[in-house]
Amino acid sequence: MDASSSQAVRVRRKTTPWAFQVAVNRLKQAIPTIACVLVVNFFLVRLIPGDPVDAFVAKAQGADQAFKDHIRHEMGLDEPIWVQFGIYLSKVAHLDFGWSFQNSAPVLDVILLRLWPTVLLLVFSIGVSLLGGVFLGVTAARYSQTWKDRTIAFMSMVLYAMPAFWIGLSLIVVFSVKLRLLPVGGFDTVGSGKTGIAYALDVGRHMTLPALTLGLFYLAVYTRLVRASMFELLDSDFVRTARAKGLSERTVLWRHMLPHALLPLLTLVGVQLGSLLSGVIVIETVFSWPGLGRLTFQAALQRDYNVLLAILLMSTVLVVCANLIVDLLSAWIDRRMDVN
Amino acid sequence: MEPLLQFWRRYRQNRGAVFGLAIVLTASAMALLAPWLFPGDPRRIAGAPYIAPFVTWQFPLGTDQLGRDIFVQLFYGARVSLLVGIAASLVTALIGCTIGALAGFYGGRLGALLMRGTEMFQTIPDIMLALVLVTILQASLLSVIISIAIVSWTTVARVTRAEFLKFRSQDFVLACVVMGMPSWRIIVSQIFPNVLPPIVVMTSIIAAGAILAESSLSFLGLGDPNSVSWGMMTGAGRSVFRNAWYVSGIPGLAILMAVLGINLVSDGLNDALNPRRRER
Repeated sequence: MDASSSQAVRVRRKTTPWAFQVAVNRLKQAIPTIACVLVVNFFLVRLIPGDPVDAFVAKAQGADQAFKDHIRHEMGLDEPIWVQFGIYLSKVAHLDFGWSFQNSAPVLDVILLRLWPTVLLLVFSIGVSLLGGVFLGVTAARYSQTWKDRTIAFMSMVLYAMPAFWIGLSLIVVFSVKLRLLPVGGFDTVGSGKTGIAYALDVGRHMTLPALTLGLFYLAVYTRLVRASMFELLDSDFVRTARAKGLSERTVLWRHMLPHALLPLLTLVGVQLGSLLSGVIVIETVFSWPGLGRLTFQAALQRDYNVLLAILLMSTVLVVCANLIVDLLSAWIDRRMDVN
Repeated sequence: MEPLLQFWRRYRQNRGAVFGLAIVLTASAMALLAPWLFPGDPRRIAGAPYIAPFVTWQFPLGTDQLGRDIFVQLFYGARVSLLVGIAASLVTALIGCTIGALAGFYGGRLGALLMRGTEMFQTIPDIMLALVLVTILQASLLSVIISIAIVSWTTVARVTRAEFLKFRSQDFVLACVVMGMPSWRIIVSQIFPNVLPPIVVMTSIIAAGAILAESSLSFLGLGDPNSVSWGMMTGAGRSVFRNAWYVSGIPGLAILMAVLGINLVSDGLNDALNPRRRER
């Protein structure tokens, strides 16, 4: 959110509920974005060389021309491209994303099945990286210019440079292959027949490594940001005042400085959600995690247009929704700081 | 010569940055010397498969599952990674600076429109879009470079716009307007030199990100199939990493070092270009 719009929110807040106002502002931005994504996605994906009929037929060990034409007609691929686009739009409006030939199921079903493992993975890794990043960033600021600070700065620098798939492979080698502590990949133990808490624990064990891999990179990003913003605040007047009042260092850091450092952090989380979802592609592929990322990769390789279109749209909508939550959170923190 | 020396004096105060520069120079040397030191196809079968690193002088870093020399491939991989890093960051800077400068200088409707477009691009998951683009454009180095540039220009555009906004209403710019200088000359010759430092730093960060992005795409098997890259080596070794970690471990380490080196250099550039900020 830029300065002028947050200003607008601040003025209007007195008359309308602030949360409503923030939501309206974000939606005003989101609707053209989603519309553009629809257009861009559709035409981009149609430009991919090769068509899904050939890929489908190849999987079915070949077929004659009549059968191919039948499938092509059934998928609407023989219509002019703008007609295809019109059909696409009206179907999207009805939440009908077509049929996935690779999965032999409606696209919506395929995606909904894969959506929740990805959301679970994202929530856990964002949680881990945010908590860890805040803790490490504040610790670095507290012990600035000592060995603790330098170690944290160095570690986050190294983590920041690590390719995610490489972290994943290393963690597998150490924790799965050598120590045999955690499973190599997958969502749950196949055929274990576990239910309830035992099942949740099983999924948790499978999720630990992928969530850690995804989280570590962002842990580094968030640590760097929190550390930098805390450093900027160290000499400011309100911090000096708080110290002069005789408040403990801990109170000054956590209660007075951290809220200011949280705002840029939240903004960054919002901006990076798209790339976080992208990171999921590589990590889910490494860990065979049955989520949207792995589905994207498979759909691109198999030319499963319908699935690819729907995932791109779905992930954009996901980012927009998450951005709304981020906006609400930052407006809430902003308000609290105003009151103070 | 004198300003360059001064610049170096400021730069070398950051010891990490000097270390980073050493890494970057080593990688560049590897890239430049590869065909001269190891003529022939780097992917030819050179010896027995699965020779561990540091066992024989003939293959200092061992061989992969097909008996290809990892050491030699590492040198050739440096060519691809650095080329992608440099080319993608330059294209990114070009797109980002143009859009950011137009948005910042003209503002108003054009600026709002451009920024709306930038936000839109930021919302679309980047590697996901790059993956689609690489698939559309066919896997080649050029398409990898273009795809990475298309998904990463937004940060440069935002930084450039913010900097242009800062300078837009300053006296020397207004003086140029009064003199009747054409807008494009004000943008290029008056404001741009002033906003160059943060853009240079940003571009070097983008280069590191581009190397990471290329490695991700190659790891997934979507890179240029005709050239050896570090990401591709890591991906190829993935199927055997339980028994032979080094096949994917060593190229992964190379990516890590190169990206770390470039990030350290950009830190150093930041310090050297903004001497006032460092003293805080």
